Amino acid sequence: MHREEAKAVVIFVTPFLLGYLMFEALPMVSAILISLTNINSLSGLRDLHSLGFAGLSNYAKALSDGPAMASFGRSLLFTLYYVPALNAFAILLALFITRSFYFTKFVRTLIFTPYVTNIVAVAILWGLLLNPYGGIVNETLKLMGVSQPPMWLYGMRTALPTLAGISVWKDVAFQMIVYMAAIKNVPSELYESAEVDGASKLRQFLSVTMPMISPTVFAMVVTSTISSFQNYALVRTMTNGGPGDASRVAVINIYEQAFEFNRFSYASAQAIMMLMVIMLITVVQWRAQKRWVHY
Amino acid sequence: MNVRCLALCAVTIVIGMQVFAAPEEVTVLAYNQRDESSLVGALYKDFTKDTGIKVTVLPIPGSTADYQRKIDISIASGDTTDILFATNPIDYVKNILNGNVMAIDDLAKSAKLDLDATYGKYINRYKGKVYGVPQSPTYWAVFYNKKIFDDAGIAYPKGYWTWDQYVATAKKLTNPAKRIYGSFMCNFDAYSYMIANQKGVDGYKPDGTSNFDDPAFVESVQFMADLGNKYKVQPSYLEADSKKLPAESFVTGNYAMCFSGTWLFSQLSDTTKYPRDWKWGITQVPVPDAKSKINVGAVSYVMINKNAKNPSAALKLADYIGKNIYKYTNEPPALTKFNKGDYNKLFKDIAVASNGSVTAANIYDAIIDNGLGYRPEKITGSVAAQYKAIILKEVAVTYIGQRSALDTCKEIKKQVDEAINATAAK
Amino acid sequence: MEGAEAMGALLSKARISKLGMTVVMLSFGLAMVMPFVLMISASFKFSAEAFDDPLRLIPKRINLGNYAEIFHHKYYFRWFLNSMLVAMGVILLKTTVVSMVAYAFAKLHFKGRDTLFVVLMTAMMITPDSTIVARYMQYRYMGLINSLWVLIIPSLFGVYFVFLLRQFFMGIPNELSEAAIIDGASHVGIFTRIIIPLSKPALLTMVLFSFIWSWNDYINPFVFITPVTTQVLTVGLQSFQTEYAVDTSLQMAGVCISLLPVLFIFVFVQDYFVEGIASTGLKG
Repeated sequence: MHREEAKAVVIFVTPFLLGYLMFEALPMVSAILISLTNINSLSGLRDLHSLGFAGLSNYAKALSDGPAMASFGRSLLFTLYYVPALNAFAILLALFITRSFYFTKFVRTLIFTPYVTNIVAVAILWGLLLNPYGGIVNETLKLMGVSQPPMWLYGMRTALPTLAGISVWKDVAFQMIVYMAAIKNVPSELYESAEVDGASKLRQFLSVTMPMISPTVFAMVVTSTISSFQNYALVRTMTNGGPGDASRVAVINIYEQAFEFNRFSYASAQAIMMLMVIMLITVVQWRAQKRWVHY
Repeated sequence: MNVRCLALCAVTIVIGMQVFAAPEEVTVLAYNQRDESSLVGALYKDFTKDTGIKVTVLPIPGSTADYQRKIDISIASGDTTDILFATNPIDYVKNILNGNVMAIDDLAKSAKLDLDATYGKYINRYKGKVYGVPQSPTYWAVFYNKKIFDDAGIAYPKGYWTWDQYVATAKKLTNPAKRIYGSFMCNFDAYSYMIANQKGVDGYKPDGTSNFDDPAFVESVQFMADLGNKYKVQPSYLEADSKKLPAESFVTGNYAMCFSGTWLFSQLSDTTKYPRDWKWGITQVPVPDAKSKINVGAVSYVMINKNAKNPSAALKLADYIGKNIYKYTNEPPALTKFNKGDYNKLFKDIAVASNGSVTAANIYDAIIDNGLGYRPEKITGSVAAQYKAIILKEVAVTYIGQRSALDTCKEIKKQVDEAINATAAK
Repeated sequence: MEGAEAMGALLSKARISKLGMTVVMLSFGLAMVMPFVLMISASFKFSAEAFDDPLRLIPKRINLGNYAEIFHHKYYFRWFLNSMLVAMGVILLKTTVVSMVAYAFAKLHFKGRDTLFVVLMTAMMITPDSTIVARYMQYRYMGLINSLWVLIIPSLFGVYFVFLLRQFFMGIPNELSEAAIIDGASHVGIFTRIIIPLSKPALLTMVLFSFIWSWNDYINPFVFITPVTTQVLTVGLQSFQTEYAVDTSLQMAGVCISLLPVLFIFVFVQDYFVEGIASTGLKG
């Protein structure tokens, strides 16, 4: 048994591991190495004899760089808005979508469209709806008696949560489908026996569905946390970090440092710092899974 | 085989190689609209006919920002494409600072090309050296919709005028009922400091720090904000940004006037893609006051990759482009020896494509013979890229009415100075 | 009276709740699809007007020129084909590789299995943009630059779906595999004959989204591929853009056409979700 298992491990794991080392690990190592040097201009990239070991100076600089640290804070805030909202919404949708109603397939496809819609069209539509002066949302709010409706994407305080909301709207289809698959796989006997015991629908959800799909929920929470930091395309198109710096998240800063100012080592250091933050969060989540995830 | 035989063979081969040498080749990294199938493609073919040097064009899709990014990554990784372009002074300086390009003074000397004689004031020296062949300078002008003017009974603008007069005219033409605005401007960085630029105020103080706290800049930013928010003669920043109004919106016919660069000619000449039933006119740019009679513009440059495979052939092509591109694309050239007659011939094509909207003389008066000086439209210098990025994001806060122009300019100066310190400390 | 009975049946509580649900879901779906409809409408407009009056869904002047230009464009279908080849390559290879390694991390036992897994996950946490220059040099050294393989091979080793599938596999009870082992089956056999069939929904999800991610990828083909004929759709669509202005409506038309395969696959995959999943064999 053990020999068979060992053989299986080799067959199943080795191809992936080799590819991983070459295509995932190596670039990461390069990023770490670059962050420890002083390549802060494109000429530095080529004239390798001018390459200097910079130690942790890029990291020290980043830590004392007020705007850079603020951008990390904003990324964290974005994640706090985004992850719970996304997963709660997705589970809710997955539950509704599996109920019985007409045009199921059509509605499912409709819900899927934001995921694949071009980001420019998304930006324009939401820009229209959420226009602080004359957009439908604010006009409705005014009619309902709200005297000072929020500035949404143009408010210094509201830009970030608004972005998180639009991001949830756009990405929910993916989580919804994954949760659908997980929910479908919960054996129906469990529901039947719960019903026999007199459990309400809500109770059934909490004691049957949630525990049974908890491995999936865990995976979704972890992955959506990780990907919430990689929101460059959305932020760039919708607000580009604005107004001012209100929605300037870490990934925008890193991108600008790398590609507009060509300060590669500095950008790499910040990217590695972001990686460490995400890793910390993931490890905490991983440890906590013992408490609520059932296998 | 004895030694004599071998030697003979070797010599034959060497001579043969010289005679049947592979044709010289130049590779060009082009914007996607300037590939082989475009008007510029004909220029490349004629160059090959004249010199026997083959040209291979590699178009890069996307915007100028995408183009620049691709160049940065490829060239830093050792790419050997010979020629690249920079459409504005910021990218020109960026390429130099990044070590992407080589200085062409020595190449020009050995090719017996006198760049100063040909291109005169359009040559841009950085630290005493030339890094690119100038081409196609753009100018700024005010384009106007003749139909809207006629409907409102207002006379067309002509000759010298000030910004106050521009605003007054725009107010008379703005008609919310018909969804017509009197004016349109984009959100490029150059607009935010246009007035300061026309007044000749530089972006840097003599000591090298940012000069953005100068009252001229505050006035510029305030003016742009007022156009949309106070005078309401053009879409506010919020409206333009949330609707992502494109730079060529003037062609929709909803704007009486448009202050823009002459790159708008190509959209105005294309009536298939931009159909319209009205005529357009062109006049010179307004100025802040009689002391500040300046027009602005940007010169493009043809630059040569530091790792170019074939630099001397590349320079030949660069010079050919500089001297001849106007014949293919109707863009005014950066040549000293271009006189009124030459300009008129050039503008005639635009006039013809405009279906009688304008005459060649109109264009000439508006952008060449307008009694105005010429300054680069962009602030460049040691932190060109950072300056632009900082200006763009900070003025937005004023434009949406959440901070005064004065505070914004102070903030810009603060951040630019930090960037200057960071660059110097490297 | 039959009529009344029929009426009663029609208005039964279940029916009403079903209708109510339909209304709710339809309006919700409509809200979700608005930008998509906007996109389609923009593709039939003239360029500068593309988003000028966005709520005017039927354009003032309908412009079929965008679609005409695309069908006559020298390279559009070449790009479409390249994107398709890459996406297909990715789905086939990735499904194989990822499901195998996910199984190993879920069901096989070896020392340091879980720690290794968390370490592997770190690769997900770094912004791809920060490694792009390093990757460019690496791929150039490996000879992958300017070939479609540069879009396929590196993307096979992402940990994202390994994680997902691992979680899913861990949810499959061990009794099944244990029973098979007693019967003398090898792990490969268990994998192919038991685990895979049970995992259709998860695998299909992976196929769908791997396709979408590959199909919509922009930054990688932009940086790693230069020659026009090797380029893919996402980057090619950016060609409809001059130095100063975007031909928005043309771009939207291009995007609309490029969405057709995605939507097609989605509709196709949906069927598999709905049918044939309940028979998990767990009942005995």
